[in-house]
Amino acid sequence: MRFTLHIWRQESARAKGHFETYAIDNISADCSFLEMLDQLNERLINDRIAHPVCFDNDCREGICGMCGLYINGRPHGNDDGITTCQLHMRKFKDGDDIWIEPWRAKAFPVIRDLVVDRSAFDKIIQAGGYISTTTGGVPDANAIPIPKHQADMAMDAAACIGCGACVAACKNASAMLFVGAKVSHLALLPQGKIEAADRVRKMVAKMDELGFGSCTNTYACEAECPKLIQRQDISRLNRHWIGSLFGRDRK
Amino acid sequence: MKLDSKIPSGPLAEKWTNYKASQKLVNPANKRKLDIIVVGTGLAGASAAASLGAMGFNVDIFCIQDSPRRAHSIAAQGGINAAKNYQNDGDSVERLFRDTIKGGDYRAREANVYRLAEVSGAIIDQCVAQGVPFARDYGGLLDNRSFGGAQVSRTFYAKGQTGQQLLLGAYGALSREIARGTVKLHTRCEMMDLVVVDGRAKGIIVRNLVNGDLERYAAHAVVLATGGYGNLYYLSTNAMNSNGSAAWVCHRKGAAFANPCYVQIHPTCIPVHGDYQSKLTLMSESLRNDGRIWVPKKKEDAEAIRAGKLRPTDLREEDRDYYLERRYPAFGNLVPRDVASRAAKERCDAGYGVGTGYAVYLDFADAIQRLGRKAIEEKYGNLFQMYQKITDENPYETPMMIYPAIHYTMGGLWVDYELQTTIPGLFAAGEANFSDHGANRLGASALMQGLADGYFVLPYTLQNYLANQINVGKIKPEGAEFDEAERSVKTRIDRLLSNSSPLTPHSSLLTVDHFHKRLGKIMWEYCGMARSAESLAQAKQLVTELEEEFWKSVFVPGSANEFNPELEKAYRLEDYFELAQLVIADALHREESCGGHFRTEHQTEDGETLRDDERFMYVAAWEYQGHGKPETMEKEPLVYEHIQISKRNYK
Amino acid sequence: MNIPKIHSISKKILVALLGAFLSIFLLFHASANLCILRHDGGAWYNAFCDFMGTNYVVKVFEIILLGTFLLHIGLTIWLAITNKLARPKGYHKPQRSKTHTGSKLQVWTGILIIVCLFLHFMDFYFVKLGLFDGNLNFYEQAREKFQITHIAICYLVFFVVVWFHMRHGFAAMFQTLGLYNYKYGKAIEVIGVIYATVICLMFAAVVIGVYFGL
Repeated sequence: MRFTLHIWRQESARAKGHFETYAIDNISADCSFLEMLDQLNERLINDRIAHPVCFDNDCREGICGMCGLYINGRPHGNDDGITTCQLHMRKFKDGDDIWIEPWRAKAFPVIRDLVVDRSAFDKIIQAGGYISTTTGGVPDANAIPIPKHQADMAMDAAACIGCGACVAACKNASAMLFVGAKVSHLALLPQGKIEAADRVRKMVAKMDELGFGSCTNTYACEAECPKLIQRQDISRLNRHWIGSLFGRDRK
Repeated sequence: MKLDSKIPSGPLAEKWTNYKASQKLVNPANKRKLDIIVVGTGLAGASAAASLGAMGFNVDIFCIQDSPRRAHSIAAQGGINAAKNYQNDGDSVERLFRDTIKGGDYRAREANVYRLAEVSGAIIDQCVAQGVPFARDYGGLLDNRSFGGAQVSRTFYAKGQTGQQLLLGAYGALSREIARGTVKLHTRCEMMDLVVVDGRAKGIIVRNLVNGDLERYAAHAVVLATGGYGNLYYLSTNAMNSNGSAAWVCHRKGAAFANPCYVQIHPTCIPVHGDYQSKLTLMSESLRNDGRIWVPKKKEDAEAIRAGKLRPTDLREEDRDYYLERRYPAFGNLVPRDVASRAAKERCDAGYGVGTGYAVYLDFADAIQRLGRKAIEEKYGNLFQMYQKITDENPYETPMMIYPAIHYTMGGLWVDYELQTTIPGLFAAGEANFSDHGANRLGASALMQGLADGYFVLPYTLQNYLANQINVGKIKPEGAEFDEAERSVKTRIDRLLSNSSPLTPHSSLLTVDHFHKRLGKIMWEYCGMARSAESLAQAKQLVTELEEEFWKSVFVPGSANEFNPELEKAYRLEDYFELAQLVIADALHREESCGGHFRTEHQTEDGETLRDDERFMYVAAWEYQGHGKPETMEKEPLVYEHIQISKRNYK
Repeated sequence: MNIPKIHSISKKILVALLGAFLSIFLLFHASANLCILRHDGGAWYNAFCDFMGTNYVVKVFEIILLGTFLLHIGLTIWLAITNKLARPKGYHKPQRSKTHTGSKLQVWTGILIIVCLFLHFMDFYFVKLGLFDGNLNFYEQAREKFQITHIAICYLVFFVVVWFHMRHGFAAMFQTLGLYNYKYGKAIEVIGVIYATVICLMFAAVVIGVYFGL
């Protein structure tokens, strides 16, 4: 297969970026999108055309959340429930033009080319996206039974890989699905209920502070989430937020 | 070099209790004065840093990715073992210990393994308290499944994403400590060298991957939790950025490297499909619970399938060879990984392979018929979806194709009972050390070991070491040793970039990946699933030649002071060349077959591993002697006081 | 001065609550309008208008309503600005994700509603306040205006815009107030459509009725 690639190139965080066009051919349909970029880089290096295109990637099996490219107007490209590394070239037509852009958000500044800084997500989690436990001194694992459907729902929310596709897809660069998933995961479990109100307050405050937009119920996040996290987690976040406003623990 | 494993005295079951009772402690006021560096944020690193931070130490933690949550522990699918006996099927600490020792082909240290089994239950308690959403049954209690090498159900799981959920639990605990200020997080930072002052590990040199700056950090102790070196083989189930360099620079500085030849080959991976392939995807071992592995019974059928003239579903039951069930009736499809891998290789080498000839079938037709498609979907839905996305084939309708691939490295830095390497003050945890799995790791035990080391072992043993360091005072990253370490890193980087000067003729230069792929091929071919004196000698020669060629014609674009992934790959590959030589040397010296190490000269009549307990019942710990020089080996004899050594038999 | 910080979700919740209040008001408004269709010379309708114009409780309510409108608009604009700031550099390729179009239209339908509302107030509300000249007998005023073709069409377009705004707003309100759940999410959407349709049909019935001289 042959493709024309239009790739965002930006030398450093401060540099001004631009699109560069590269033609590539002889690509197998079974090849993954990132492997296609590997081959492009191999050629860029061998022919001394340019510095290879920088893009984040690691596990290449859709779980680490490291990769993330905005491909032809969709985060992670034109397929549902996958990350960029799971996108295969058979999803494209021979001769296609492919536009590749980095995640765009104030909270995700570009580091180089297609690599962005997602440490804002870490900061949101540090604000309260955990259950406060110290090692040891916890009850037996079976001491608190949890209804299966509730554990399953918590698992579905916990599946978030923190890739940032929800922010990239949202027209407001909102992190509500990310925050909603973590708040839901923990609030659905009896262990996490104890700090639920405090957690939601701190995480939302941090999210606002870092410059993410707000939710306007477009649900592009839900459509693009590689782990199929649902918007009901955002609704649950809102519910817990309202609850936290009247929480008894409020000082 | 003297190896002292520091195993506490007393009966096996009381060793750890005795140790904890008599170890030295650091009082809270002094904890604040002690700095610890943790490298790596996987299960072992994150859990260690979180625990140590919560105890009151000052911790600096480093990772090469953009977030601690990216560490490759996240990709573990199947589950985590623990001797909880929730299923009332006769499980116990003793049994988990025995299974692990046996699974490791009697090449692991008894005391370490027993401790691992002993703390396994507490890991599950800890994780549940952190909010890890383990699978539950309808009564609300935790569910289990079985894994290879065990006859009980002791594996806890969270869908097919157990590693992810456990890591997120540890990441949460770590995040809490970061928020409290006890742990400082350094992302996109790569450890480039270890600084040893007066024989003790006192700091590290890191490269900031965003701007290329070299930075120095000093501490009273350094914990290495940087995973294994499976990417030595290029194609493996490891993540692209997983590498052995941090462990290797410690080895260069004097830390002994143990049993490097023990690499695990996982039987259920999606087969290789092209030259451009960058990694292999694992299909969880849990699939072997319900999937049946087979190849055609007749060669002509295999040929027809390879040619695309016959579909696997067309083959009648009596024309299929369920070779694992045939050879190992007791364990069937659930034999340990090394056994299953070799059996697949044996069938494919004999000409019965499907697909490209290097694949076997993993069939769910029976399970779907027995349990219904919905039940299978619930259990393995995400794995099936993953398979379909990659191969474009529907595993509900046609059997999956699988083939073994490099997955885990049991070898690693030599550590004593306290997880301390031969350099005082340098500790190694998780896959980075060699300690618990012997010659083969059982499924769902890596997660167990990583968390055991981080949550329940290091917090004690590290304290024992640090109790002697309270009078040292704050360590500053200054002095000749730090200067020298930083200078040597700079020299290394400059050397790699020197080929890229505009004066070098372009046509002769090649990319780093080009060399890495070739190195991987050599290792897989000559030092992979089956090894012989002849193949290893060949491998040694080829790797030496390849390294020479690498230095002549590798091209690393860009400069040292920028975000430059090609440069990162280059210095990691440089270390792999040395590591490859050590793996080969270790494999060559170990003239027996055990676990993941299979020497074709040493096998039984029906092709099983043949151990030589007389000559090789020891840990081989290697000491670095300088580039290109053969390393020297020290033996740590393995003494089995508690367990009855037998032939590993899964028939 | 210490201004209490209003978090993004709180703003959204306020917008939703104010929107809910406005939708309820619309139901009252539409019901009252139906009186115009009575051929009683405006007896019922004018009596109603008279009551609305003189009762002090209603006067207070009027101020609340006006405040609601302004707050609903103000908060939305505030949110829209922060949302724009959250992505200083946009994408080159237009978005192709599957989304709920209503949301993207919401700002625009909102602005259209403000414009239409202003025209509507020129005919009625501002006349009452004495800002504009016009017939203070709203029954006659309505009957007169709705018979002019272009005005009638303008009003019908207005109702369609209101329909779009309400249809998305209704379901979005449940989501924002934390009441959405995938089990009954579809039902909420359907109820939203029904509610918006009923209200807009009630409004439209009056305009169409008057236009055709019913």
